[in-house]
Amino acid sequence: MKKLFVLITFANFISFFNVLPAQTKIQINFIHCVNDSPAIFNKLIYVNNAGNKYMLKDLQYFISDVTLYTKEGISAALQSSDNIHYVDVAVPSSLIWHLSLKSDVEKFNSISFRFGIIKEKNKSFLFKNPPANLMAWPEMLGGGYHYMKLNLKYMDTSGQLSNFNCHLGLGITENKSNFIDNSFVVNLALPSNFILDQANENTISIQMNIDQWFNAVNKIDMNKYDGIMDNEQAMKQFCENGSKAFVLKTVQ
Amino acid sequence: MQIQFFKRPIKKLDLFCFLICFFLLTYSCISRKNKSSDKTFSPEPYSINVPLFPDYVNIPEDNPMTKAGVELGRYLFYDGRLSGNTEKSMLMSCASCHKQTHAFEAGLDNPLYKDGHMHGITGKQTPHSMLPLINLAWNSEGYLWNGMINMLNVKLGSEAYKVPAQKPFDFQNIESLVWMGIVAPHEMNGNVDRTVAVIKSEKMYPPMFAKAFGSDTISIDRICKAVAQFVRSLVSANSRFDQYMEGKVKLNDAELNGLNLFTSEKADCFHCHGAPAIPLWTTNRFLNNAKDTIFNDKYDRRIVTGVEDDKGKYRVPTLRNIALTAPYMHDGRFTTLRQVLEFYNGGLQKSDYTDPLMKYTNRGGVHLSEKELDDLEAFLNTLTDSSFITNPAFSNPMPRNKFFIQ
Repeated sequence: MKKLFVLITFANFISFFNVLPAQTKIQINFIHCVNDSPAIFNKLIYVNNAGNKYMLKDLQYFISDVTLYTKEGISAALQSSDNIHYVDVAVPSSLIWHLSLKSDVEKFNSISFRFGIIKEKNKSFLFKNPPANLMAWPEMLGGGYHYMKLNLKYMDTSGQLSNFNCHLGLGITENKSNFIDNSFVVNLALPSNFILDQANENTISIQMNIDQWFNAVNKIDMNKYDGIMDNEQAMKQFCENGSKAFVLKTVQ
Repeated sequence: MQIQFFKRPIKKLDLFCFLICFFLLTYSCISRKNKSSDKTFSPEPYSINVPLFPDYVNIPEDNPMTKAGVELGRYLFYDGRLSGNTEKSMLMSCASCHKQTHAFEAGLDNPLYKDGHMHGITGKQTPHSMLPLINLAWNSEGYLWNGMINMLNVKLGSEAYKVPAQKPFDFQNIESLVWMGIVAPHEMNGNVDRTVAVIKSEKMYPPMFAKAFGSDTISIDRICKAVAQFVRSLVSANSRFDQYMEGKVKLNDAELNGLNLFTSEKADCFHCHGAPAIPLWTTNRFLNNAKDTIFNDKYDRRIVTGVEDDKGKYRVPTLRNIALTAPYMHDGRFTTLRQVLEFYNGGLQKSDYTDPLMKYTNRGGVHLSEKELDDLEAFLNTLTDSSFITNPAFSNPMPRNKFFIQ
């Protein structure tokens, strides 16, 4: 009798989960390029629209809150442990993000993600472990974490190799009274024939054109900046550029 | 007929899951029964949990920390016979150089080492100045200034350091660091067999090894494991700044201004050394901090990576207890904290190998005022943990014993 009860309880447990929406696996790959060619680091080979010759050194950033949208605008949020992902071009494992989607809907028209971390979630001590915790953003600038650290060297006006850090995070108002959420949402259209395969993992590749951070909307002359973390105007210009830096590369 | 309780008939998969669960349940009962009658060795664990520190702790599976292991390691750490010698003039222990009063660094006042410049028992200079033994259990990037001992290492021994290859010392963790300390010519220059024999001959040790490892067998492997356990126990997390973060004390205006400068673009210390939310106060990364323009140190980061671009790169040291750990930099070129601050303020040397985070290199430094340098120094002093350097659990266990070195 006791065994029968255990069997019945267990079977009911299984069936309970079977009626939930399907859990679809989605893998996002992060690809980095400069004007459609794979990004090459540690070589002085790139020139931006302002004429700065530059060499890429480091690129680390956060992507969060990935969501799929149907034609009707119905959203379905993709899930991971904390819905925030750290990307570091020097760490191959960080270039892939495994997510899941609990939905029976198979047809979606677009995907969106947040570059950086929304202000409400972007709090100091959110991450305990390196490398994500090494992105800490100063408390007096609002705390939380850098959205991005893009470090490079460029040839300055005197012909010397200079260091340049495009570091983005919370901004601060001119009167220093409020912090500004500079994170932004990127929307990318999915191919019209895209249908989620609920039985297998789906792969979506998102490509960042690094050069766009200096060109897309605002022409950035690196000679004109030192640090930009406490310069909201500069960060805003970079973020406007960055919102145009991503494209959907492939969907499988 | 179906039982109404089910929403659908039982499928093969459900039955399979049920059988798996049944098997696991049965197995757990059996294994628990076995454990209850198991009389295997189970020493009391030693915990080094610090709530704000990373979850990752660098403790190998075959050397879990135990109270008996840490205590044995403490004795061995201070025992001058670890070098394999018993003559007073030839005694050398880990504590000969790693002084508790200096956060387990040599310090400038060490009578054996002028200006804190280290040499081994034979007088051979160490390749680099010393790094303190602070919170090493949380180091995920590798040990020594160049990170040569790291979890990804696949080479046994080191030709450059003249340390022979010997299993199980895989140069991946603190156990190998201890072994290197015993055998390296620039450190104890010890003979492993002699060290083991000398430690075996001391009556107090066999019972301590039995308590720590389950039998009184004394081997170099166990010696290194015990010392490594003690080194991992050297946790510093109670500085005035920690107490400030816990709301227990207040910082004065100069210290607070120093903190703000430290984490500002103006002084820009935090990108390499961390911030309140990086409580180890180091990123543990390997960077070229614009000290030089010529790089001829064969022990820099290149020894690990073989990458030319890693010229002049060294570990970013922790700033915890930084006021106690002079001399500074990999070669100990600065003897005071003020000299270090002045270097970053106006002494940066430009080269193609300087890390991009050193963004003020072209103008020679960050150019703070004297008052700002004072404040920065005041803040750095708040990272001194006086309970760490006075903790009896880390001190010499037998100060009156002639073999034990303070």
